[in-house]
Amino acid sequence: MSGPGPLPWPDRARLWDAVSSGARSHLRGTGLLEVSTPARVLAPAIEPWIEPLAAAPQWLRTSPELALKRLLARGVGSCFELAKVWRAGEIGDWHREEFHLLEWYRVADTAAGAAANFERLREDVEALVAAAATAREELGLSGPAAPARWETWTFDAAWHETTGQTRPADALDALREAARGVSGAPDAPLLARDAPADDRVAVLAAWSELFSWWSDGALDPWLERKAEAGIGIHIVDFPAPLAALAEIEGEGRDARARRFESFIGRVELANGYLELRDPRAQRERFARVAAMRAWSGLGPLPLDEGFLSELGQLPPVAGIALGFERLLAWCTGVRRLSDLALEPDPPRGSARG
Amino acid sequence: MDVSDLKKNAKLKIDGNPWIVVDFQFVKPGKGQGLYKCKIKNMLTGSVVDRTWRSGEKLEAADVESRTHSFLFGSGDSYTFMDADTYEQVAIPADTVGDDSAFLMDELPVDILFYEGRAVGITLPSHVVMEVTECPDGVAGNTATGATKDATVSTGLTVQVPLFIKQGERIKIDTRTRAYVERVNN
Repeated sequence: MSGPGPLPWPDRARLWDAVSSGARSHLRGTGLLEVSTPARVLAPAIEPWIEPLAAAPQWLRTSPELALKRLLARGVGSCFELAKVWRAGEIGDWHREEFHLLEWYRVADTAAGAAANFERLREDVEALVAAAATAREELGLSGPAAPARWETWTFDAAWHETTGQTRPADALDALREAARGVSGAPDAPLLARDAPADDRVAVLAAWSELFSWWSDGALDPWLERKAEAGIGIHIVDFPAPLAALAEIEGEGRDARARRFESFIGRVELANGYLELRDPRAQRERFARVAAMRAWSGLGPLPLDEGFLSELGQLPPVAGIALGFERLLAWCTGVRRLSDLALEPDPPRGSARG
Repeated sequence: MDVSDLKKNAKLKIDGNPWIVVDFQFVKPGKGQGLYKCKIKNMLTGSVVDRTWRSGEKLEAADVESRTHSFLFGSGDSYTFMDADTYEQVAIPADTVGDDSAFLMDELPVDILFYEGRAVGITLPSHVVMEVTECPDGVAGNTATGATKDATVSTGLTVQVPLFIKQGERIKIDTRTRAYVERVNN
């Protein structure tokens, strides 16, 4: 599939201005404050496969999530940030080491209110996509129409639709078996290496790998067909091990993470949570991710004790991060982020010493 | 090397063979493990396959280097070249040189590929200029566009040339297609 090719520099600047203005106006118009939190942090969020860049003796943030949640815990209320973030080694057509996350949080008085806000985030994504398409049109640039409609699929339903199989249980054997049925997964079984002793660590590692194979081999082609039919997709209720910082509901086989992702075709635009507010559960998750990182040969990261100490004051809230450059890329139809970046990509590898 | 060091033209040792990355794509679905989707080419056989590696995997870099040499002489079962910088000579078996021997003329610059110190292949310049040593005269009156005839050049290679080419003239040949490109005036 071919896109329009690199946009002229003036169009890139005008597009940034118009789409960011549209997004700000939607978020402010629905009651959110714009804030700005530090880019340099003492401790980045500990994630399985997200690597921070060091800014010794600190780190460059990989997302503004922890800082924004600390503001929420201090009573700031619903807010958003268009945040510059850095992720080491993420270089490709749809990845850059430096990019912007548009991240916003909708606070509620009650858990039920937060659950309603979690649904509301999907409407926000749809509104921002529509606003971006309108802004692009007003600039006289070409690009795809906004999806005529959006569908919400549970993770389990999407898995079944794209593989013909029931979504595997959160157990190592089941995940290894499922990997064999996922197009694109290697002949070598998932986690061919010795699994770590802690089964939950192994399951986290296996799910984060299987999820990638499934996305690339089965989910993306399906999403592409949906986009061709004018349909955007939200996938909700992820397997519990993939909860990241989202609340988990239910237990055992029924456990599901209150997390969703929004896609237009292969473009993964946004990732939202009904936010986890329990400091003890959060500490356990960080520890499990740290164990998985160590087992995978990734370097240790400091724990954000300041965040954990304030998490207990977090109000009921749903939050989401949207890859801002991806929104720009989608609305102009370019096939790679570098076609509309305001600075060419540095040569690959130059970011590491 | 770490998989995150993969890029186009990276050279890898896989199952004892040197491979070069000819196409490279990084994908990373929401908080999942990164996948490095590559097309890699076997530097010995030229075969191309798809391979995907996962974030965190370790790869072995291939000890491969290419150095420019000039052709000295052939002895039937091997061809000898000289390093343009060090003047060191290296003899390469005729099997390794293969059909490319048809272009080897005195002092022709070629890139020799060394894998773990051993010469494993040569890369010719994309175009060479050679003298036509044997060529029938054009048939009088035949002016049909695109009409060609055989011409033999100094190494014995035969190529199709336009009818106006004469013995003793020099012509440019594409070494990849063995096609005549143009007449070269002295």
